[in-house]
Amino acid sequence: MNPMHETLDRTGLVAGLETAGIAWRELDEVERNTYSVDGVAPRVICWPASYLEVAKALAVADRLGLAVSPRGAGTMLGLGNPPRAVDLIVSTERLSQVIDYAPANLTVTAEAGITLSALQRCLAEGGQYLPLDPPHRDQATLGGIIATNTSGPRRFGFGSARDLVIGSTAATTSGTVTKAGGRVVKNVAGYDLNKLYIGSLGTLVVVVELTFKVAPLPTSQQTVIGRFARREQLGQVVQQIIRSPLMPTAVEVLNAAALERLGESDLPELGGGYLLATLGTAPGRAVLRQRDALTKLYQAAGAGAIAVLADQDSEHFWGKVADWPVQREAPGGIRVKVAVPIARVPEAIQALETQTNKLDARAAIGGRAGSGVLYAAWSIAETAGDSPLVPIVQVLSQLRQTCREWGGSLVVEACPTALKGKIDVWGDVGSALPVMRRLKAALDPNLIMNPGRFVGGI
Amino acid sequence: MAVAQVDARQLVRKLEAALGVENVLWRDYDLRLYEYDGSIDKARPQVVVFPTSTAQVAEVVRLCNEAKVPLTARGAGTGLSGGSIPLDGGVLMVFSRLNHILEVDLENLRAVVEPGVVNLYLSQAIAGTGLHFVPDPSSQKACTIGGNVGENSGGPHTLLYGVTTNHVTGLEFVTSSGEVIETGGKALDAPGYDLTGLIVGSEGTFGVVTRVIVRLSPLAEAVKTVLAVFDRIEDASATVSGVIAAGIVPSAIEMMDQLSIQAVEAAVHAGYPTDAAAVLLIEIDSLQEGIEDLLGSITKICEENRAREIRTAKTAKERNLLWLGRKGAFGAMGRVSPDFYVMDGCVPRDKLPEVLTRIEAISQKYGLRIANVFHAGDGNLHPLVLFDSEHPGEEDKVREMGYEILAVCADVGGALTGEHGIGFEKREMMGLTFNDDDLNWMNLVKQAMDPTGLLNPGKIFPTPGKCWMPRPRRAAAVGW
Repeated sequence: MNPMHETLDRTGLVAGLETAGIAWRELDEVERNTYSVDGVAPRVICWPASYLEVAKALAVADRLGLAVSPRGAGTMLGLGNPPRAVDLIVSTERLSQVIDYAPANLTVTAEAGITLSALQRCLAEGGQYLPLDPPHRDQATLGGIIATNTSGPRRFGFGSARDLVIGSTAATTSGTVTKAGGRVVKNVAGYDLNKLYIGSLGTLVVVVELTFKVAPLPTSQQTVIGRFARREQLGQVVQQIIRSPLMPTAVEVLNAAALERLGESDLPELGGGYLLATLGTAPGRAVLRQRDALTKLYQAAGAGAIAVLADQDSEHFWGKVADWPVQREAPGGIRVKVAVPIARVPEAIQALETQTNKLDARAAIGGRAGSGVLYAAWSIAETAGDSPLVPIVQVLSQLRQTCREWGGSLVVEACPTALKGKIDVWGDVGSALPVMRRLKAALDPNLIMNPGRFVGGI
Repeated sequence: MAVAQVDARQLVRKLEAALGVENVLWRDYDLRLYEYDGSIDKARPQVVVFPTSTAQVAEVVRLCNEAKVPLTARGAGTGLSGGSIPLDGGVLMVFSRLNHILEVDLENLRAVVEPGVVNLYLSQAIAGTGLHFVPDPSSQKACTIGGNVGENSGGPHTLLYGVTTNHVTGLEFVTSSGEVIETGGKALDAPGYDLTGLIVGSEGTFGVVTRVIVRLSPLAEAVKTVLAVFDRIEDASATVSGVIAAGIVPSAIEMMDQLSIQAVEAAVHAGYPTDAAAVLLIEIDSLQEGIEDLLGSITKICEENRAREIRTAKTAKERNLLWLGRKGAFGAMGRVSPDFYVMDGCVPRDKLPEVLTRIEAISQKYGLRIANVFHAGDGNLHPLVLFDSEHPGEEDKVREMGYEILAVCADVGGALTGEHGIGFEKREMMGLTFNDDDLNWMNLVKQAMDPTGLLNPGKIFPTPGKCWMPRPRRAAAVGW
């Protein structure tokens, strides 16, 4: 526990926020529940209206040694180990403007509190989009997406946040507002702190503004779906696709349980097989070539129930695909993200199936077959006590061990808080941990930013 | 911080013991070869070492720490910002004996290489697999992948494919205290801070990279290279904006102005018309189907902007010749000037016409010619100031012009460097785009990564006291 937490300096905090002119409120019992993080309930929430106000709020907390939890829309608030303390929630809700959008530059700068879908609406007016498609696009904020490094199917073609963010502004625990990168697409001036912030889960700074590279909206899109009975076929066809010049935008696999989460009645029955979905967005006639060539590869690999979804149907489908890992998430649900070298995808699917079968769980499994990133989600039976958690811990540990042997990782993205006491949701990050701790100590010396949530107790 | 002679002798003996006599140079005659890079500044190291393993790199780092001697890493020395110049002397680490391609892993689209591998050799080694390593700086025949990682190098094809950082997924890295750590890997999304992303582009100021895991990408099925010739440079600039605005992202859009064209023609005879005000070299990567449509759209935009001639390379040989001209442009300047100074700034694409006009005004003001040859699609300018170092005072004038040009880039919302790095060359200009708070924050990261400040000292940050004073690190309330 943070020693400060027991003696929350409410008077000091309130006085500091008041002096800085920052809107704040003390939370009542119900709200404390709403805003609680893994059962740790905050006392105060504030809504800074400017970058400097965010920095001032952090400075107040830093001076008093109070734990800060930055908050966007709260869609990924379950990610991380239980916090050592949460005293003050800093909401980015009032920072939701697009700052600069010049279509001729293919870049956009926006405040961190804007939702992804609001940004996409703005970009669509310029015939462009941000090719980042994480779950919860209607609620998730840019700041939250960056802090949690969430991404979606289109990462195969466009990469993840680290490939799209070119500049950021951050409020720091020193009470300053600092920039890194800029608003141009090529920039090697100064350290690339954008990379440091992406996925840092609010443990270093509060990112208040972001600049992204954007892309022209495709004029047409074609999705080829097909059923593969065996994992080996799947692995084979994925290899052919990713090493070909077809350059699809997404290469996604889903098992039957994952497909059910899409809630689309007209998709094929999979039985024990897998759905492979590949998205083509190449300009002009090239997109039809993508469709036809992918269809041929599917056929040659023995796919059944091959179908094509075009344009709006395709767009609708991929929206569902982006969201399935977080759909129907019961409070007792578990969601893991497994990252492995690409060629291990079939084995990783097998390992996920075998291990979750031991729990009698019907896990939804799928993800970025072309990138080596898979998700598995299942619910656990409501049983009192800790006993059902023991086999889950065993299964997760076994899976994690396997992933590590392959040079990958397993992160528990969502699970009951009770389980977090028994397993580190991040796992061992290896030899780099001391360097990560030095960075944390340098940028947040009083360890007030989301303490305890991140890797290695950071 | 230059080490006293007596200590240097001791250090040399220890380095020779650790690396072998054949991997350590210390005679002044030998050291002279390592006092420069591709920029105009020089500084001589006291010792040059050629480690042959990660363990040797770690040992050199430890010995430098022990002797409190600066350590600077150097790839091929093709850098253009003084990044590998050992400003305070000390030990210069050269990677020409740590230059193996350790693994080509086609099914995972990765390769594992040592830092001394020459950029072009990797793509050559995997020729025939349908894959390649994307970053292709113009110096790719000489520059090393370790150097590319240090500088986060670009090249002409970044417009569609991104820069070095987008193609590196993991590193083996020796920290400032000599620990060997691994960051990232062949798999994506390793938990924890993205140290790989932080280290790429840190110009050797954090530690020493000893192994690089790179992404391999499929080669495009069809490539078309177009040369568009313009009588007015404004028309060429407008074409660049026009292509982007039409929703077309070529793999490269390069611009050369008249002076560059004339130099290139004198040197390599690429077939550019020497009376043109500017040429654009536009390359599109696509599937076979659709490439003619793209070519048609681009041709139309060029015509709308009064291109007087549009030439498409018909064979691989013609394409290579067009690129030879572009990639050889810096070297060709020797044909039109005894010396030249390469600048590197990046501006928003829609500011290109304004910026080119303002650069021309700077050229007029100082009476020195400026050739422009650059990555127009990215807004990444490379003004080349032509001068003669035999003329007294001209070198100072060139530096002043460089400052003014970058001030223009900063003024329009651009960056001080798109791909060459800050290094020594531009450290005093950092204040043009970063304020004290920004620099102090970056300096905290530097102090965390290199508390003794022995790694590549004097780079990136302005001289303390001149226009910026680093704040001491705040004491941590809780230690780890």
